[in-house]
Amino acid sequence: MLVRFVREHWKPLVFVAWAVGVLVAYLGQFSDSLDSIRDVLSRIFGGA
Amino acid sequence: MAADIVVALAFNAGLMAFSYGVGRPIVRIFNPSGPAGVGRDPAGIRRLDRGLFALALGFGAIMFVYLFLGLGDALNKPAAWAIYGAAGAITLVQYRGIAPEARAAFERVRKQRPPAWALALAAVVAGHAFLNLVGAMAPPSMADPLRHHLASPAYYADVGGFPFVPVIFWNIPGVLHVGYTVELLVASEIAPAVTHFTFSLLTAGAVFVLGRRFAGWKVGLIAAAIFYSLPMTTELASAPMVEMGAVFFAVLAVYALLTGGKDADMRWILLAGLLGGLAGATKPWALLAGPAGLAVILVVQGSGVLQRPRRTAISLVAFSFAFGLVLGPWLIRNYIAAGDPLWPLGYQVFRGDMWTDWHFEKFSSWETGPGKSLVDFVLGPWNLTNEIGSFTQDRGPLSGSLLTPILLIFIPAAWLFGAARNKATGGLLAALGAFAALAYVVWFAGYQQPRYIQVVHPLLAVMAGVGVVAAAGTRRRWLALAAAGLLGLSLVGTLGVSVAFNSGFFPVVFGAQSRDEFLEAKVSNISSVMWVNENLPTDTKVLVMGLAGWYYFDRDWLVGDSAYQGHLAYHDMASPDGLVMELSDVGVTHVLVQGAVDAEPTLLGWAARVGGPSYGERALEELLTDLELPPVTPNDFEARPFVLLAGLQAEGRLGLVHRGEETVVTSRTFGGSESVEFLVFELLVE
Repeated sequence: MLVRFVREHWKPLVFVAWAVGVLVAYLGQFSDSLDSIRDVLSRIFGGA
Repeated sequence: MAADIVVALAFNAGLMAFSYGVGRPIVRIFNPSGPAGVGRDPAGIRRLDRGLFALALGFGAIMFVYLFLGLGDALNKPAAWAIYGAAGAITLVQYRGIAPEARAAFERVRKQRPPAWALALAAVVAGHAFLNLVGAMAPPSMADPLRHHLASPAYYADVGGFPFVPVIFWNIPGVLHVGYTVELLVASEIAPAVTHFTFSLLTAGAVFVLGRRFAGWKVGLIAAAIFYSLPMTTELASAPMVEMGAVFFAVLAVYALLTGGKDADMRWILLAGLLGGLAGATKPWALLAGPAGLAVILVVQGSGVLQRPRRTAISLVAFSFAFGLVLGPWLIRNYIAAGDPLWPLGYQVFRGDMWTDWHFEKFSSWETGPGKSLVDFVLGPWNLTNEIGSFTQDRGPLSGSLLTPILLIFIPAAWLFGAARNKATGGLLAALGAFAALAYVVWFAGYQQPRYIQVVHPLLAVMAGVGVVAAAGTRRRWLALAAAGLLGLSLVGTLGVSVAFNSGFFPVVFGAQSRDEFLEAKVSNISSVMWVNENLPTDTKVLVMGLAGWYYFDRDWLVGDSAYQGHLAYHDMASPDGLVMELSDVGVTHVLVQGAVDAEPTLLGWAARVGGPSYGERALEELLTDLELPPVTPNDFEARPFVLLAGLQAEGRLGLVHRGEETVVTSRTFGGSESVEFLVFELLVE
């Protein structure tokens, strides 16, 4: 059943895997920038 | 400042309207045709599309008139107003034609009943546009405009023409620079940024019509929203840069090639060449539109290249001819003045005057990005999306170079979900892919500054738009929702980036912060510039050793940095006497040494900063003895003027008149800055 599901839906599955992979890598690049983000939010909202 | 803003908005409204009026008959001369249909004019091109072509050509034509006036040293206030008025008169003469067009366009928009998601996308673009407009209305504060995009037009406006000035980036083709010169003459310092902001909206419009014509209105709208929400669009659209003009012309050139390239319709190909030339004449990196345009012709003609090679050859020659025709005035002027049509970028080939191997070595050694291996080449799009910090030196990922993940996620989806099987959409993807690939190869081989490849962003947005619509059109509701969710999240995120970036401009634009306070917070080394303006006599001429805030000098001044100019040949000066003679010849009375974070606030401190630690460790006598030989490395070349100046100071011919504090701004968005010291000297010659 799993094989059939994969065969019928391989394109969306490939797309979702690709999208999740890109998103994780994209968000990961900000891990060292949290303080900077906090600084900007603080400047805009006055202490968020 | 409110008056400056009003004048800037009014002048630009007129300039754009008059550009359309001047361009309308030019488009008729070309009479480009296409398949007739609903909402299209008798020639078969939609009104909005034709209007954008008219505006582009009209703007280019007006700028050419100003350019030739300037090349003849006749660009002054009366001349600038006369041309502006003539363009207005040409527009008014066509009132009977333009008014019904405008009414019909308004009626068509009024009768539209777009779905909610389309309205939401339009609202996102409108939100970005409002924020960017506020940013554009603030006093100029971005480093590049203060160093060249505004600094050189300010000089040109002052002298009333476009003389050859041997300062890097001041003599590179600039359609928008011509416009900025006129605006500084007759409008206000806010006007150039408003012009650039307007071009950002026009580019979004060009992206929309490109996507709509070849892949449907949904693709066009999504692509426009993706492009306009990119952080780099935000950073550029709110400043008096030139990139948005270049990409506007480039996108329309691609539209023209896709429309008439396959059948070798000379009208479209010539039109594309002119627009590509305007792109290249606006920003050096948009010169890529030349070879990339040739690649697009080959792609759209496909198998016809082999079947009818003569037709292909004529197409390539016609495009190149029109492209070169537009660039001609700038190239010829630079060649006559310095022996290099692209001075100084063509030095390797032309060995132009006022540039040296040391200049060339310095700038060709600039490097950024993770590397230049085959793996880096293949991973380039991934790295540009997910490792952007490796391209931004020490600024990290939170910069204007940040891309959104939408491009990388959805561009492959266009092929995965079969959108490329549609003939028109497949042709669009192939052509845009060819343009982007060629631009990427050239960019990768050179200095990998993310902004230098910005010319492909609008085209990538169209490809991603095709991918979004293809993913949403698979009849899997969950996939459509996922695609919409990803797009929505990305747009909300980038709107947040825009708020963070532009919020710093609100206080000064709406009167809660003074202009001086704003400049102090946003512009590096502005204190030294203001000190010179406020304390030195009006007949002063200042040699500026430093690269910041040039636009804001009120006093006569001269670029002093050895690497950025070619008028002072420090490398030929064997002693301080040579420097004194040269400075006296050009009328320099004072020297400003701007503060730098990594330099001791002394002349030899600066020499050590640019030349290496040995300059701080060796005795001045020894350094002066070394001047008898030419510089060995680019570092020695850069340190030489500071050693010469230090020699003058030791001999009592250069006196320190002021030592002051200023700041170097490390981030306009995050508000970081570091305190440094600047020095002002007086040249003491009899």
